[in-house]
Amino acid sequence: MEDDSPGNVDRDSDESLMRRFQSGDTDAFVLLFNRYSTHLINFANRFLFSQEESEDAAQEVLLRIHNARDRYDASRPFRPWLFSIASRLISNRLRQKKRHPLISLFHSTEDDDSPPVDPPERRGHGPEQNMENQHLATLIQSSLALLPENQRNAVILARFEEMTNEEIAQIMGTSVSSVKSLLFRARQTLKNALKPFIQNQPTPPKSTATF
Amino acid sequence: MNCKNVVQKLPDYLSHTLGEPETVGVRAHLDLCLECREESRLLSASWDMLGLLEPVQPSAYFHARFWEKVRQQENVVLERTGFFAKFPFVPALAGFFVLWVLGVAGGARLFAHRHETATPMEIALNRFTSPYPQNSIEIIFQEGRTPTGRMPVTHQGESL
Ligand SMILES: [Zn+2]
Repeated sequence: MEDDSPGNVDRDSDESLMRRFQSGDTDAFVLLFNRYSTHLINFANRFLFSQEESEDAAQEVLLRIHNARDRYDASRPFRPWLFSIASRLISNRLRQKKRHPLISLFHSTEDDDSPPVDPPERRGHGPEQNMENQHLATLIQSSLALLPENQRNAVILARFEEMTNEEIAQIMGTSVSSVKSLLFRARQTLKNALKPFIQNQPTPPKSTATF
Repeated sequence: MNCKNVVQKLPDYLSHTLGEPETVGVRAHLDLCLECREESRLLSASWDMLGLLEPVQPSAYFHARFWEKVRQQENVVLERTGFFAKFPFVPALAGFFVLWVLGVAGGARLFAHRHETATPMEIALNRFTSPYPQNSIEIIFQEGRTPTGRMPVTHQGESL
C-alpha cells in the first residue's frame, strides 16, 4: 500500500492525531499529512488521470482538513470524513473538467460485452515489457473511466482504500444496500471491459502497470 | 440456489462477506456449474487486475508547495483580521475629519481676512454696543443718548 497502512495499531490513531491538532499541535497534522498525502494523490489520480491535477486536488483536501480542524468531531472516524471531503472536491473538479479523455478507447455503453481493445498476444521483457505495462495501465484506466462517477467512487474506495461497504456508504452519504448495488454494477462493467485481456491470460499477469 | 441467485451473491462471496450458510450454497453451486464458475473467475480476475495499477508517488515539491500554501493563507488571514479589517470605516473617517478640519480652518482664515481682524462674534457684539447712530439700539434710545452709549441719568440718579 501507499505510505504506512492505515490499519497499523503501533502508532497514534488518526482520531487522536486530529485531537492533538485541534489542541494546537501542528506536528500531529504533519503526521496525518505524511500518512495520507500519497493516498489522496492516488485517490484523485484514479478519477482525474493526471498527476499534476491529482496533487492539486490532494493539496486542496489537506488544506480543507487543516482549516476545518475545529469542525471535526473527534468521536467519529477520521478516514470517512477525509475521503468524503476528497470525494466532494474531486466531484467538483470532474464537473469542471467535463471530459473523459480515455473513454474513447471503449464503447460508452455499460452492457457492451466486447470493448474494442485488442488483448496483447504475447508478453515480453525490456522495452516490450514497458509497452506492455503501459498498455495494461491504459486498459485498466479506460475500464475505470467507463464507470459512472458514483460507481467509480465505490470501486476505488473498496478496491484501493480497502474500505467496508458501511464506510463507503458513510462517505457517499447513501445506504449500504445502495453501495452493494453500485459495486455489483461496477464489477460487471469492469469484468466485461477486461474480459478480452483476462481470457488471453491463462494465469493472472505478474507485472505491475504504472500510470 | 439457482444461477441468478449465485451471480447476485458472487461479489460478497469473493470478498468473504457472505454468511456461512450462503457461502456453502454458492460454493456447492460453483462446483457443479461451469458458467457460474467462469463468471466468478472473470469477476475475481478483473478485480485483481485493478491492483496492477502502480501507485504514483508525490512529486519532489509536493510537501513544500503545501506548506507554502498554508503560509500564504495565514498571511491573508492576518491581513483580514488586523485593526483596519475589523474597523474598515476608520481610514475613511480619519480622511473625512482631516478634510473637515482643513475646510473649517481655511474658511475661518478667509472670513477673518475679509473682516480684517474681527471675528463674527466680535462683529455681532459690536453691533449692539457701537456708539454710532446706525446701531439699532441707538435708534431706539436716540433721545438723551450719550456718545459713550450709556443711557442718560436723571438728577435723582435713576435711569429714564
Ligand atoms: Zn450457475
